[in-house]
Amino acid sequence: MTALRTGPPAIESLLPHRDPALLVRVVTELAAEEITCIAVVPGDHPLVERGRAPCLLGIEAAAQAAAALEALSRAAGGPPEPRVGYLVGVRDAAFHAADLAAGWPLRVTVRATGSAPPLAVYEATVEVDGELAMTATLSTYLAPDPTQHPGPDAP
Amino acid sequence: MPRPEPRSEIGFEILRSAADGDGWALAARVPEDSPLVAGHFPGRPIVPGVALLALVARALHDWRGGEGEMLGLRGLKLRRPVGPGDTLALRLGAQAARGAADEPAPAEVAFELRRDDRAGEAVATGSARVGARPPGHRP
Repeated sequence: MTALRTGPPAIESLLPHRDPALLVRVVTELAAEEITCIAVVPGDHPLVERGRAPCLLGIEAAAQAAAALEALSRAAGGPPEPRVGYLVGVRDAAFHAADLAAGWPLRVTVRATGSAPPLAVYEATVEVDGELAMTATLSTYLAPDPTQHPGPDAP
Repeated sequence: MPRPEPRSEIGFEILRSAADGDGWALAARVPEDSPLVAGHFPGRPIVPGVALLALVARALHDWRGGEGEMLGLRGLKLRRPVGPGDTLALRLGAQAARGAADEPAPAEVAFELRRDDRAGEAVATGSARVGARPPGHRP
């Protein structure tokens, strides 16, 4: 994976999320099937209490990083376009940290490990100050029609 | 069981959180103006799946106190989207513990979150690895 040399794309061009739900702030490294982003939990995020959010919010940061990777892959050199996707499963997750500080940078790395469009599986890590805060294997569903959820048979 | 300390409602309206047989039950509503859907997504408000997990974590804490920290997840399936106005029923139930014989094993707690309406559709199922978190661990 290499650092981006042409400048990162504006995150709003990759993701449909907006503040305070938008956690991923910038893409720092990109490869064909892997992305690293910096995410920040806004102080006014609804899951923040006394300046800290539960570590499980790292799953949302990872899902947003996966969506950014998918949008960049789909753009294939053209202008990226955000699409609404759904987090539909977490096979396994470990929360090594009790919580995450609002306003503090999270290093989120996501690697695509399986894909059967519109479904995809990703391995994700979230690090804080170089320490592992969370690992997870998550599944996403990118609906051709954004109003369409995969329903109860999602993997 | 010690009374849990009061916790905020994390964008939900908590209607009930109480023992239910050998498990725990929590009922909650998503207010029409819930902050959980702000920016998620503009024009199509959906409660983030992690907010449903936060509701599970809240119920675990209500049930187990300091021994009810969510340390991990297994087999989570988010089956249907949840939006403003939805009322939800969560049920927690203990499963067999896993772990080495010579050390306390974290408990596995199964959870099932359903819409609390006539159809009672499941919206999220899975299990959480639950226990006490060592003090002072904060990367």
